[in-house]
Amino acid sequence: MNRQARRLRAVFVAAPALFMLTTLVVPALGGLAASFDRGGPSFGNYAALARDPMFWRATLDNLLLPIASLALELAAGLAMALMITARAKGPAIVQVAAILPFAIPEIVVLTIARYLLMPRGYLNGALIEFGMPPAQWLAPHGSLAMLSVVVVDAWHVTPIVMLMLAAGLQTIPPELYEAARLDGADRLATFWYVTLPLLAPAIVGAAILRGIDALRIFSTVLVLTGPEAVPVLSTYAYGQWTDAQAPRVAMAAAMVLALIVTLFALGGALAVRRWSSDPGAPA
Amino acid sequence: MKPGARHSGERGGGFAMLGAALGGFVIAAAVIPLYLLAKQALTPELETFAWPPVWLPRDITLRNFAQVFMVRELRGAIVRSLSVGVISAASATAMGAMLASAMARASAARRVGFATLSGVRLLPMIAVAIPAAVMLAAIGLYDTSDALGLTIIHCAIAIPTAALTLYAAFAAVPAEVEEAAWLDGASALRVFLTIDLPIVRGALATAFILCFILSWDEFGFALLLQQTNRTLPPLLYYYTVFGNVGPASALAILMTVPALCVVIALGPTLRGALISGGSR
Amino acid sequence: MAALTVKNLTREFPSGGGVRGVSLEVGAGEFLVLLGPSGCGKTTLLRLIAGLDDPDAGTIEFAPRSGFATANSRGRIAMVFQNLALYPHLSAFENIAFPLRLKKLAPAEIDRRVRETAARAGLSAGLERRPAELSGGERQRVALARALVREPEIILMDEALASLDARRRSALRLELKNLQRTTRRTFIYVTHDQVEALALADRVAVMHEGRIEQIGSPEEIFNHPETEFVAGFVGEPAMNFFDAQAAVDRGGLAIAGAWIPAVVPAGAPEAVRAGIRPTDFSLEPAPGAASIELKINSVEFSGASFIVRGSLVHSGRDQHSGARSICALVAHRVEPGETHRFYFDPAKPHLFDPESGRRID
Repeated sequence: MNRQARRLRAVFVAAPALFMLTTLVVPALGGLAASFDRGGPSFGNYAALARDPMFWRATLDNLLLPIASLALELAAGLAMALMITARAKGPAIVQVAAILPFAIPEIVVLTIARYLLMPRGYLNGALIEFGMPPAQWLAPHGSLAMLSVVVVDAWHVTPIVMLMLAAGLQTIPPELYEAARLDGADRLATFWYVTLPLLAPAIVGAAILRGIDALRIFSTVLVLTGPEAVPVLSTYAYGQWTDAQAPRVAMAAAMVLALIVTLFALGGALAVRRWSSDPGAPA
Repeated sequence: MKPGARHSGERGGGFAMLGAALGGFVIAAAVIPLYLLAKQALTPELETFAWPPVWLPRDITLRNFAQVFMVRELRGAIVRSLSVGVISAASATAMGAMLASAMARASAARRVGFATLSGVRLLPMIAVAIPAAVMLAAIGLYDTSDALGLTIIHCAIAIPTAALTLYAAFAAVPAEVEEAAWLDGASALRVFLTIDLPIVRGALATAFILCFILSWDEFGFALLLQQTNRTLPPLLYYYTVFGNVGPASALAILMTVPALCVVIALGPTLRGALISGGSR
Repeated sequence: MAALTVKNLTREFPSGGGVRGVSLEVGAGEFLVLLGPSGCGKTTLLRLIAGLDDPDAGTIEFAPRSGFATANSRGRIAMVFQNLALYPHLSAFENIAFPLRLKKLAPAEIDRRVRETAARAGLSAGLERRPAELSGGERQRVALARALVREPEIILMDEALASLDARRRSALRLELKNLQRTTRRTFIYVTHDQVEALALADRVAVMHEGRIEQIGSPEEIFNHPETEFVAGFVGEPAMNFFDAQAAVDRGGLAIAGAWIPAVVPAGAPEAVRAGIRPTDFSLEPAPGAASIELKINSVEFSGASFIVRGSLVHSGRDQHSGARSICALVAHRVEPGETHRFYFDPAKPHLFDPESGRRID
């Protein structure tokens, strides 16, 4: 049995793996090669990037955005996770509403967001009704644009973070809460000394996974603000490919992004390994 | 047994109110935007262009939806999204099943599998899509009407989701059942097809649905690989950015309906699968 | 004519267990039981025979038959797994029919054979139900029928009755034995329950730490254990063991200072391990019987007899080894605290070499 089963398993691993490698990795490698190609091998494309102030802006935004959205997603996700795992779970409608933003296709979310945040959009309309001044939420040169991107992204993604953290909360034995209460801790202290430390692995896991996605942000920026207002590396590369007709420079920018993502993922994996081998001092 | 439950005696008014406020906010944040979109879809464009905005619908019409089905470009996009979605989801589920069944039984397969899946998930779309566009153009699969190139790519990016969804299900099949079948005379392939697959059919369905939604919603590759023969997400983008509020809103609502139904219907199953396999 | 010959089979695992240098011949139509504690290698041996695992060394040969390569065991072997391994998504009928469908037999033929075999396994109704809807005993029968329906030469069973309650187990045991007799197939049955082994087997192979310690009929194993391990493992309550000084000329053993007449074979070393079964004791004196005096510590009533535990009362010189509790099975009640004489036939004690554990004859 084992021999036959082993052969089949080898095929079952090789076929999908080869398929994924050919379809996805080969182009990426081709792009890597192209990024060093300027008639002959050279760093010229990367030099062109370094000369372009837009590239540096894009890189900066690409690093700031994930930090901001992660912070928001983790905070909101944690609050919502606490809410739905609490004893008074709340009516089912709240649970459904919590998942809803993730169920909606991303492009639809962005469409709704555009209509909300346009100069003559619903948000400004509501503000006016309440006598407050409208704002240019998606303006090309305002910092509000970045805020809008962060909030919209968080709106779409928080349900997933909430689910991850809720799963983590479920693994904390309820006896620990009771013990803390008997020790005299109030809710805030319990949260700080019991919940948070035990939830740390789930938080770190969620941060790494969502961080990787946040670094690759593309459609949100493209649809909401256009590539000019809040440039990120993906849209910058896209712009080089479509408008500037400079495919190799585009590839160079894409490779920079790939490098950032890989470094982040490796760092995250190392952090996780360090964490699990060193559980930290018990209370 | 409610894990994470708060102490029974301390349902202080403060926290309860906070919880209620949060709950209300969550509901509002989810419902209001959807409501506005639905309203835009169901009212004439003139009403939508009004300023200050009209909050309650004055004039309900289905003209926007009718337009969606009358415009050939939109009809084509719907059909294209459906075909890309179904074919890529079916192939991804099949290959994901192959990978997951091997990973569930052999540690070497598990290591190779996880390494490949993690590596693939790390790749930024833009780093793959641009060279892929060039390569597909070279073999004549760029921007085709049947979107075959896009289908292949969607299948590849969906395999991790399918494999991770199916992994637990295959691991749960007792090894003895497979051994019994082998002793009864079944070849290894026969065991996979007639014993394993029927046992995990629930997870197969879940994987298929998740992969379909992944393809249906996918924007980046669709935008770059199909410039004129578009699927729904890039098309919606253009309609939104270049006006056509009515059909755009109707299209957006149409796009949302399948995903919404599935998520609500599958609820609990989806939670587990989403956490392990979900990705943008 | 041996149905199966195993030569020097070795399969070891990094985590321990497995078999080392096991050799064995299984006769056609024999009910062989592999008996031993968990981790002794009996399940490994079974799986090697089934072909589910490959040995590191050694060979497994099946009786040559025209049309079959000896290396290919499939088709000639069926197995009933410990947790039955029924196909959960198929009905009982389809479970039993599965091997026949793989052979692509005609549907009418399949139907006939499935129903016949099901009847033989004691299944009358409910063939259309799924395993989840059947009782434990019914599931057992389905597993058995599935193994039988192919008419294999050898049927392997891995602790197959372990999940049943005591009453059902003994009932099914009887059916199993009858089934084996009527079908005249070779059964190889793995268990850790020595009562079951003695009841079912034509021959028992007692295994310990990857090796076969002894193969023989149940009576042989019980009355004439070859090693200390076999002596201690078979028989309930377990055999009593002592360290003793053997004196061939005086015809007895010195155990903890007490002198016990016993038959000591010539050539026995001075230091031995002596064993005597609880059932060999009696409260009734008999001519030529030896005896020891015990102070009773505890008495358990077990229906037909009493399980008595006591300490040796000796003349005082050597306080060690005899102080351990001695178990006897007797017909009359005694009370804790009393002192009684227990009689036994001096030929009964078994003597073993303290280092090798082998029997001294």
